[in-house]
Amino acid sequence: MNTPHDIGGMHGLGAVPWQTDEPVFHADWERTIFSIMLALAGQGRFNADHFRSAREKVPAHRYLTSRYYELWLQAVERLVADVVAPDEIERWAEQLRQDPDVPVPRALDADLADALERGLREGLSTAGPVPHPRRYAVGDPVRTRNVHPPGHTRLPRYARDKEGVVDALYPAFPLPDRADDGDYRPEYLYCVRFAAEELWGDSAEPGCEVQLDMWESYLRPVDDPPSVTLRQEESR
Amino acid sequence: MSAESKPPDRDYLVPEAEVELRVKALEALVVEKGLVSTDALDRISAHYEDEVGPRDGARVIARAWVDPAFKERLLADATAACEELGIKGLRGEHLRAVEDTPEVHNVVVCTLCSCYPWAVLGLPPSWYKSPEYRAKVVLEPRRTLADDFGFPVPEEVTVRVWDSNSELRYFVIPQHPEGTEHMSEAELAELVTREAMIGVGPVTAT
Repeated sequence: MNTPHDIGGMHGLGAVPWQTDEPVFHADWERTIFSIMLALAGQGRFNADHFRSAREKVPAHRYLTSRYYELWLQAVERLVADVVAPDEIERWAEQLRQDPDVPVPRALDADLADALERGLREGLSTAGPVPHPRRYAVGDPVRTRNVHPPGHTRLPRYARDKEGVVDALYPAFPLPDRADDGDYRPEYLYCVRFAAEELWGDSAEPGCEVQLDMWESYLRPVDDPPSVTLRQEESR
Repeated sequence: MSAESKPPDRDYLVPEAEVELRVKALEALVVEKGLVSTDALDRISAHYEDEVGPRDGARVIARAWVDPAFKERLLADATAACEELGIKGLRGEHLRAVEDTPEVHNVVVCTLCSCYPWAVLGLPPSWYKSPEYRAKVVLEPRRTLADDFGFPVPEEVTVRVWDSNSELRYFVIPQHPEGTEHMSEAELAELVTREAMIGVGPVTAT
């Protein structure tokens, strides 16, 4: 999706709000929504790509005027909408507005707490096997595809239709564009190096490079014929 | 240079009190419906507040500085090398450590969201997740490091930006600072800041 989350290279945002000493969470509500997200994801209710995609679906005009964890709230609300209806949330919120001290439900489940904490400690790889060989090797020149999918993708706008060189081979992971729709077939991943001049042209700073990870679907060999769209433009 | 500890000043659409209320409402509902339990939520936040953090990453860097064989393993397979030190977990399943040299300076970002090596560095700081950092550091890494972090990179040194757009998680092995030969591994670890492991700050022998 070409939405404001894909923000690399955007102007007009001002200085980086750098702080050297900040708490892990700045408020209780940040802690709560963080933990709700991980507790639900840890039980397999959604995966990392569903969650990223849900954040990307926050309306474009709201994305940049939402706090970081407020985006998490909006995403989680979307992802649990089948079991927690938006009007239920609003009803509860209204009760709390009327009486901030209204008792909220509490429940203990030591087995669940143990299992989820174990998940944090162990992690969970999504890498998997692919039944055919890789298409590219280290050192191969590659060109990224010029695509603007309306759904989730991890190919940033600033790196589309750009030439780079394969710098490293990584395991195969589910293609995010498909994983958001529940298709978790792994696809080979590559680390690709781009010269800043290739990405930013005359605006590039000297002596800079950008490394991006590219699924095979995001790449084509540089000597591949150009896409149909490009051919049509060239024949004009 | 150090940054003042103050929250970013921005115009958000929804008042924070309203967001807080809605999170509380959501918490009430997911607990009421049995989707999560209160103790599970507490354990998850405690894990990131009390257990993992940049001190873990600093241990990895200090070990790499004093043990060349470990550094080789770290560069070859950071996930396995970190596990040697008991460091592993969520968002640390596929790690890559990238090494600063006299020729190349590395800096890490996630322009599309906020991907970060949680298992090694803990949760990312606000500035790392900010639209400002994500937007600027890929386009103008030198200017961003110099102007926003007071950390200019000499022009003869290549700046390599790692945009974490996959399940790989990156962190930087800064150069071993000179004048620290007498220091122990534990003392060296004290010198390693979170900024240095993201690539936006120096390691200085104090």
